[in-house]
Amino acid sequence: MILVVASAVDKVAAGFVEELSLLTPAAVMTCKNIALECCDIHCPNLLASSLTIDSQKVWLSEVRGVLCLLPTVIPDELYFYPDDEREYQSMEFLALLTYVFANLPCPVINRPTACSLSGPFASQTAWYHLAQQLHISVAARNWLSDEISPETEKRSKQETIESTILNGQSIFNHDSKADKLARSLAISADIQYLHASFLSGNPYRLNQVKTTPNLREPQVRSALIEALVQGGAS
Amino acid sequence: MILLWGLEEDRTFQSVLNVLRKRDAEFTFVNHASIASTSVKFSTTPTLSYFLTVGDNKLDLDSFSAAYLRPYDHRLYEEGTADPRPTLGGPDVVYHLLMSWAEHTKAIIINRPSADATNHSKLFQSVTIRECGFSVPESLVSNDLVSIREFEAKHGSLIYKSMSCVRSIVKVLDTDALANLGSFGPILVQQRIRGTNLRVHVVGSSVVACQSNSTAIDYRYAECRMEACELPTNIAAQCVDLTKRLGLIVSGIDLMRAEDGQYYCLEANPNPAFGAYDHDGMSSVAHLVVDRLMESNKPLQMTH
Repeated sequence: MILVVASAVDKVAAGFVEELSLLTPAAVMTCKNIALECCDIHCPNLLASSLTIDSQKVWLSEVRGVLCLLPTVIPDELYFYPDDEREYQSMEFLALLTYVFANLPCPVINRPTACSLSGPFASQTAWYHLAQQLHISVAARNWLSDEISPETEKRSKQETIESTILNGQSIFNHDSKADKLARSLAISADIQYLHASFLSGNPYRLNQVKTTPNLREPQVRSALIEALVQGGAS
Repeated sequence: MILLWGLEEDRTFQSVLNVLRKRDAEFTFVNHASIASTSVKFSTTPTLSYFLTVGDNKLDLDSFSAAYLRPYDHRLYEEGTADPRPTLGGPDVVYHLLMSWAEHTKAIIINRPSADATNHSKLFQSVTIRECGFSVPESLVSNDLVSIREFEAKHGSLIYKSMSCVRSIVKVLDTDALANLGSFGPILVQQRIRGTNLRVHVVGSSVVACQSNSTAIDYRYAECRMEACELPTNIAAQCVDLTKRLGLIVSGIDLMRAEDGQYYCLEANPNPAFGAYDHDGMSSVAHLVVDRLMESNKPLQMTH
């Protein structure tokens, strides 16, 4: 069984699972499944745990791969709880999902850390710091807590070059220079999936990193399906 | 120069502030309650840099050699924010950028945000606790009464508490009361360990332990007296190891010495309120924290 952890309103994730299900058993798992269907999560014996998804019991020991599309759990995701409980419950669900998916022995894209359900960092600034460590130039950015500077908006209109890395390999192979930089970021961050954009010029300057896969992109979908079916994540 | 960010009325924060004053240390205090009138600028050119503006003072955060951070929910202090647009700036961004600096600076930070985050999930943290050789109580997260009753039958008595870092009062689980609720969401229940509660504060390789004389399930909410105690050498070493593995400089580790003498580790608090455990009035943990903060002091660079 492959689990795709997604928002209850994510129709694209549901479509992806339909496509994936043609090759291997797969299901979308949402916070609603955990909240309203039977769940038993054990600690320390995580593999003795089970979830129920659309009335089907899933043993975590039988999960062969996970694609996590939620970087965090926002209170609105828990729309089935009363308003005044959602914020507290969102912290509880985040805590639970972090424990489960950080520790499952199967491939998880991206494996959660204490900081994010989608890899090691929860903010762009962290990627900029990593880039600086790796001697990758960073696009000019000025963030003031009072405002966003006009200079930032102007520069963001420059031409961007994009690269998407899955398990150390470029998915598109559009630009070898961008691929090399993005691969270097992914490997250093020990992250399975990463989409980086760079501002053109010499050198390329890191503009933005996204760690949640864009499933609307056919090549991304195909690469993820291949990785999940073959157990190519780590 | 040392940066202190917190609330002056917080007893723990105050104890660090007092020790710094007694030692005539150079420090800048940023009152968390004034977050609405504080701003931070982050720039990527020529290198990544952060500037903090408090009143008329603009401070280059990279000129600080150390920081002690005890932030609170900034939304409680947002009154008076000039610009109510939540997505473009304000206290939320101040908090975010200050945490970003704290995560990446070379300064001594007590404690770095990523290390602090290891306590956002108790079960996630328990994996590292076990790796350090501690026993941990068996836990179950469930919304199924049958499973919870089976778990109770196995362990005799259960307690329940939050899974996240949101503070909760630990209570003994009454499964009959739970049954009366009808349906309920996933809750964390845990094997109840009977014995003596210990709070161990670790600062680097220094260990200060105390124990509670209370038999209450959650001694923090009961009448109790904390007394200094000694830990077996191996347990003290495990506490130091755990603190280090979690990436923390300071921790408040909750241990339980079971009736059979076995030590269980319940959790490691990355932002411990050690002021509440100052049983001898000596602020010993605050002194250790200040020792650490003063390890590499350097002069403040002011810009206007």
